[in-house]
Amino acid sequence: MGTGTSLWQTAIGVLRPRAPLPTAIPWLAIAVGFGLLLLTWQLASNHYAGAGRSVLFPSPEAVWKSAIHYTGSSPDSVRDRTTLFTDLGASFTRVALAFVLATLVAVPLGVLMGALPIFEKLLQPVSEFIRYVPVPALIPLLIVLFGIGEAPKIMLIFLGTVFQLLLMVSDEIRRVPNDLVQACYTLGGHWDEAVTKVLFPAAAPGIFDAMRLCQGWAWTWLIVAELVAANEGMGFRILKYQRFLLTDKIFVYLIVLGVVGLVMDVLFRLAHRLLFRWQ
Amino acid sequence: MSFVLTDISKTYRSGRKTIEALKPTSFSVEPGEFVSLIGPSGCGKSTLLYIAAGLEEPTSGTVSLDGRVLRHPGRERGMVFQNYTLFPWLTVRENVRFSHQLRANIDYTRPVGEILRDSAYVDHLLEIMGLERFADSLPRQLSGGMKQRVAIARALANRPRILLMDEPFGALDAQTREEMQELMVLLRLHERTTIVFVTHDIEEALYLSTRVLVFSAHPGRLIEEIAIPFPDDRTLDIKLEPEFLRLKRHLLDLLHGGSRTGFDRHAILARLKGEPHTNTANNT
Repeated sequence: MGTGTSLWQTAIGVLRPRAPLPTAIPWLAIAVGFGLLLLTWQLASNHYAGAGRSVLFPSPEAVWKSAIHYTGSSPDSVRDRTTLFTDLGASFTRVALAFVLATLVAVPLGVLMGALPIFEKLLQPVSEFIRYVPVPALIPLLIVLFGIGEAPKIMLIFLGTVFQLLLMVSDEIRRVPNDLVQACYTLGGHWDEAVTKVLFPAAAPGIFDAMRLCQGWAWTWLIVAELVAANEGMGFRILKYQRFLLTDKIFVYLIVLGVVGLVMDVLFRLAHRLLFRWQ
Repeated sequence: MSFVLTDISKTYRSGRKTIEALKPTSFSVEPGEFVSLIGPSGCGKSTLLYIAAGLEEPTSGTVSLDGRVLRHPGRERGMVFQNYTLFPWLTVRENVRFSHQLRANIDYTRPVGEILRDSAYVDHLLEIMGLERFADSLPRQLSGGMKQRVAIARALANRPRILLMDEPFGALDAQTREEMQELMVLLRLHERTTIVFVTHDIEEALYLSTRVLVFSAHPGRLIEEIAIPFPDDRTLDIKLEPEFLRLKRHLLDLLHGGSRTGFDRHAILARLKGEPHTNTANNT
């Protein structure tokens, strides 16, 4: 059969490494991926519902209803919506402050580390060491040192990202072809000009990409920080809802976190494309 | 009044062995000369050029310009690299005028008129290199030949006393290569640029140079110096002149003669035909 072989051929073609996909197949695959996620979710919730404990694991439908509730106009809906935006605002502020702080520290130091071998020897082994200290293990110490206000949370996110960013920035600087630096020298450039006019602009797209990745990790550390001691924030609210078994609301918060992460990622990618047209 | 390399040598250390990349070598370049360094790979010609540029340190010897010893790279020696090395985030014009915004080249006491002349010179270079239409293009939009023309313009914009070129046309296709060679002849005629040029292409060296220095490998050393008798104003036609062909044969003999390359034509032919292997080099 003609169609039979062509379908077969499509199936085989899709499995060829690095082969371009025929039109519509990518969208189909994305839809199937999310479909599988929903299916797994539904099956899992069925399992709990069968035991009469559907409150432990709400079905996709229950979460959808809860999400709709957040858009409603009843006093309950308004209150929950206000809470969500307050939580999101508090969390976003923490991530933003810590991320800006980490960038301000890691980018200049990383550039120096990548450009000057003496700074590499001075900072690289130390950074590698600290990077492998699990950041949550620092929470008790941070609380002792900074109390339970905003400071320990921001410090936790800062510590969780700054060393990663530092190492990635220095790697990006080291990846710049030596030819470009030599060209700068033969044109009369001094060492500082080799850094500011060649190494940094050449590595800037990679550095920006590293910042995008770190921004994602910052949200992970945020939740860890808020689980411990807070009055508001996404992580705090999720813990609170756990206490009252409001699992459908937990799911709404999880979805919001996923969407925020995705939006941030897309914004970084867009900015990247605008800033570095030369690539 | 010249560019002088005195007793330049280079040895590398790898483990316990020391490798002699270049035996002590001396030569000088007078203003207006076009000197080519030619030889097989591993003969130290590129190393010598990088030492001349101040980008590599010699094991012994000195580089000097007009009696002043130079230890570091500097604006008086422009360099064109094999791999284009344009700054990919800058447009063609910004690449060419890169040196003008470096501290070493900014003299705040200079009259405004002279600074304006710098920017006029950038325009002039873009024009003679045939790049004015691409002045606002990015390097990634250019062909290999155009990239290398930008690199040459960038080095010249700094008005170096001497231009060092490391196999600049090695990555280009044959036709673009000849175009670039013709361009170099015209450039030298009009800008009176002094050039030291590294290549492994015999024809290229003969066509462009006023003098050719021939190097041999393992260890790298200068084996012969040949003055090229053609006038400065040359066309590609000279590649067919008897004198050109005679010099070419001479260089071919020097570089590939005898069994120096280790390529045994007879042995390979015998193997391809399935005949019993006889090593002609040993039997005769």
